[in-house]
Amino acid sequence: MNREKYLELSRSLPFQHIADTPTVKYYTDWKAFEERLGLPYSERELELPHYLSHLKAHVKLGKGVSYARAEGVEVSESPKDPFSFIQVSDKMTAYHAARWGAGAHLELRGDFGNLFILSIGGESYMGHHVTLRVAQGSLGNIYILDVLPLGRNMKTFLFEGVVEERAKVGVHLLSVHSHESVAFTAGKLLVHDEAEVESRSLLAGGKMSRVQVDYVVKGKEAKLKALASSVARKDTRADFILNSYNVGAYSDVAVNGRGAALNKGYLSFRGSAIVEESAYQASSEIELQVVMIGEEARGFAVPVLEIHSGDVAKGNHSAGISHIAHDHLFYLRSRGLSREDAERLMVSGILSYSGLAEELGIEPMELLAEA
Amino acid sequence: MLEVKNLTVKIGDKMVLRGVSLNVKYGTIHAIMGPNGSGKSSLAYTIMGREGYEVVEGDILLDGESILGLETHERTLKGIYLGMQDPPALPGVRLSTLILAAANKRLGEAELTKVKDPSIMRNMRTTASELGLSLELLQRETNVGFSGGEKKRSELLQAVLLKPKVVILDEPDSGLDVDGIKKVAEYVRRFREEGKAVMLITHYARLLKHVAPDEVTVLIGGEVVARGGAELAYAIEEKGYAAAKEWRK
Repeated sequence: MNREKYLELSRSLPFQHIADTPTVKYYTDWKAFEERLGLPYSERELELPHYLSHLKAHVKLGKGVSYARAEGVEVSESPKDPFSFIQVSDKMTAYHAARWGAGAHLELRGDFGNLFILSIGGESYMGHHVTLRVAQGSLGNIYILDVLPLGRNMKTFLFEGVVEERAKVGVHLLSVHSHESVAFTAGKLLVHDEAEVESRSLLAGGKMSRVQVDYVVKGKEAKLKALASSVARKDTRADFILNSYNVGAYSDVAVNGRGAALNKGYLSFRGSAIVEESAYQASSEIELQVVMIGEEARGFAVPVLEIHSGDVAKGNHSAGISHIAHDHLFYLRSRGLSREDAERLMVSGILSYSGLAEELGIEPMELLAEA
Repeated sequence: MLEVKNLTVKIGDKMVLRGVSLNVKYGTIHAIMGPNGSGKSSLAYTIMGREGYEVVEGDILLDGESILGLETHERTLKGIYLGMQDPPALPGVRLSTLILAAANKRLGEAELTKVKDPSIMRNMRTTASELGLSLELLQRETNVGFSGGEKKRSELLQAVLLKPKVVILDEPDSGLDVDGIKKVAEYVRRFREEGKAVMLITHYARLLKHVAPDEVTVLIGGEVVARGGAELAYAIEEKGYAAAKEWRK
């Protein structure tokens, strides 16, 4: 389909279908996107915030694509069969399909070590698209840095691909979007037989950040372990969705997330753990907890478990939503921490939960500053 | 010494303590006993300055100085520690991070979660191991999914590592098996030997059998109804709280 067709689709498709969320509620403020759909394409990318400047990207997507050679990594400057895994069935995906400007395809083989992919936004609108294939038996970590550093800008970023048999990889996503920005990030990965994916993610959202990653655990005895942290800073809104689909027999999925909504921040942390009929003796668990800290913060934790298989090994889902309570504060203060120390420790803990900030050498609280 | 002088406290309109006086001297264990709702935990919370506990009359002194004007964290930094009966779960905050932050705060460090003094981490691991806590538990979120016994041991671990002058332990034995109770008792005795003032709040005398308290005060309905030594605790164990009412103050 050509770009014009996608543009037409973007005009006719809805932002979301009623049935595409666990409830009919609109957790994403689509109006924030609608207001910026007409932005011109950026002429240049922005600078990385200082707390990320120590990270050197092997593949950089900005106005264009640049990459450095890395062992076991083959890069092509355009995605291969984009939208094979992510379907163009909603307005924002269609808009992205019509307008994305820079993309790449990555073939990863053997022990490829730590690979950093940077998608950095620009002034006004920028869109990036990455496809990837992790070959059979490969080992390594893919760190995806999804950054929109400044201003009232918009970015769309989609990644999709496959993790082949017996590969053992980390697929980690850091999304940092500036306070005034809107960002639409989506990923979808197919995980084949006996492959293992470990995912750490961290979202510090902007005026409206919608981040969704779908893991289709397709293979027999395939595994996914996902840890996620998310924070809606003051006056920002974030909708973070981690979906998993057990398809393969004996597949094993665990998704755990922690989130915080700060003053006047809004955070929804969602995930559907779906065990398909074919997933004989599969395991799936999803657990999400959101803490609201400060005045007028709003938080939602919506983990959903759907089991269509008649024979599963395990299925759990749980949610926790709480205001930072007097109990929490008193407990922390009885350890010698002031109210400010206590709140900071809670937020820092939630940001650190996925382990990604530590792995990347980022002081978590820096993420709360303007990106 | 921690001195509680003629303390009357209310929560909203409800009086929870009425004219309570007692001292907890350094190098001693002072047991506070009483049935459910007698005001034991209210006394501990008031000493720590918990919001909502309004002191109507009386005073609380640490080493001769009133602490009533201090906030909770300031009282803690003066050297008072409260091990809670049912500490809340803290999603996202690892137990090791909490202990590190609390220890750094005492050292006056600005960055609470950076390891400035490696001995803190070493002591944490050693003491956790002595208490029967796994090192994996230190990396878990504080009190999230902890068993009752793990919570008690975690509270005790913090009491050891944060080096307070006054240790208040609220029901440190509830829900523990015999071995767990003996372990708690061992640490309580150690606190006394180290010269700390220990206020031990408990329903039952079973823990007290292992620690032999120097003083026992019994609260019922927010009032002191009996005072004595370890023999008072044993009488209560034998005859119930009716024994306390017959005891002279």
